[in-house]
Amino acid sequence: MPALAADLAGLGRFAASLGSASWFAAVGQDLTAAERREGEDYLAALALNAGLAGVSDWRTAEKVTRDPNWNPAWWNAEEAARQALLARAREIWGEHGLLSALTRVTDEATRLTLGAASIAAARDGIADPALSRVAAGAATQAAYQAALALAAETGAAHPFQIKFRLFAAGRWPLGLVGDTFHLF
Amino acid sequence: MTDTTKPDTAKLQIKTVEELKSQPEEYRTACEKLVISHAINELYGARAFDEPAVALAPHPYAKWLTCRVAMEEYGHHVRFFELGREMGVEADRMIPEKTSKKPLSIFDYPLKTWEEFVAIKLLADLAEILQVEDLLHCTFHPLRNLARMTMPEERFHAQFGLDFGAELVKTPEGKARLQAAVNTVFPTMPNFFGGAKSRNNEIFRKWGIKLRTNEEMRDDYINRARDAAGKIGLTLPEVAVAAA
Repeated sequence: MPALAADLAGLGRFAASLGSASWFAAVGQDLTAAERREGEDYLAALALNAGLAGVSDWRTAEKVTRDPNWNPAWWNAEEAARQALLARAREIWGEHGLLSALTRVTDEATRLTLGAASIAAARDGIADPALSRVAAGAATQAAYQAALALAAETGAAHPFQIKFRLFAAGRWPLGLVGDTFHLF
Repeated sequence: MTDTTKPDTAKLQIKTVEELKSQPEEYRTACEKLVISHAINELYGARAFDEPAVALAPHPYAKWLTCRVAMEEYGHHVRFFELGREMGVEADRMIPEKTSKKPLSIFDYPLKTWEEFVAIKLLADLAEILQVEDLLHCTFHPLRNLARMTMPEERFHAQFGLDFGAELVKTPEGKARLQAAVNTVFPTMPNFFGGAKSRNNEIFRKWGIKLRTNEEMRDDYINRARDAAGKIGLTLPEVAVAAA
């Protein structure tokens, strides 16, 4: 078994770094070429054949996330990736140490993201506690997924690491509706 | 033997965990019981209902909101757990799988559908609000402050039940499914408030830790639950009132 303290400490450092992410700071802005590439790489890494579209405001973002035609293939692909990573990470680190380290990450993300989402929404004239919590839930999930990818010793090209980079750069990947992936 | 003399709760205001240590054993034990109960049940609730509900939620909005709610419930556990540790309660007494103390019977309910989860948020989180409300003027201030801190989130969780309930009842099929879930979930709720002649409740009130009897809370709960269900055109099964 690898040196537990040394490597799971990496997740501790990841948790500590969450405060420096630009949570939701760039939502609504035009996508840069680099962000488009990250989005396309994310979709390719999940083996999803979909186009990419930017979303310009919070209310449209809400509509996308509640769209009855949303495509669960994306959520299911993420869930399959999560299960695979969890199995691998458990094998490497054992249940207890892994869960403690992941909990540190989600606690920190939970603490940070609601305020950031609320401020970003307020900047656009939106005061909606439920929508801010939805955004915070998505961000916390992304932090958890990225931590799991780190614990399972994946590379930077893993979809969860790409997705987290998008969040850290101030974006919110909203999901797949039909064959279009929406990035806020 | 228990001292039945009622203390002057207007004067009894325990501001810190340090002050608690010099209080009578009955008072300290009563505070511990409440903290342990909340620590266990908040964690158990998050595991039994909120986490599994993410998979049942109908769209990403509901999934992420449920993720957030699960984390908030887990956060409540952490706050009560930390207070318990400060009070000298052993960690194992506040973790469901390590203690012999049973969680509330509502958690035995095997969650199968999104409608059941919405009904649980609507009805069980309302019951939780009543329990936390009763601590808002608690003579043990660290517990009172914790209740005040968690209350806004508890209210949001009950509102979650109302909001998604309102979404479900827009179609006759959705309304029928939600009503069926309410009919299943509600009969377990009145027991949430404990027995009519609870010795624990008597002690809690004697020391000003809680304000109301179990029967008063249960009656209030049933009225408020009926109002909440009525707001979205649902009814409560009669059997639950009889069970109370």
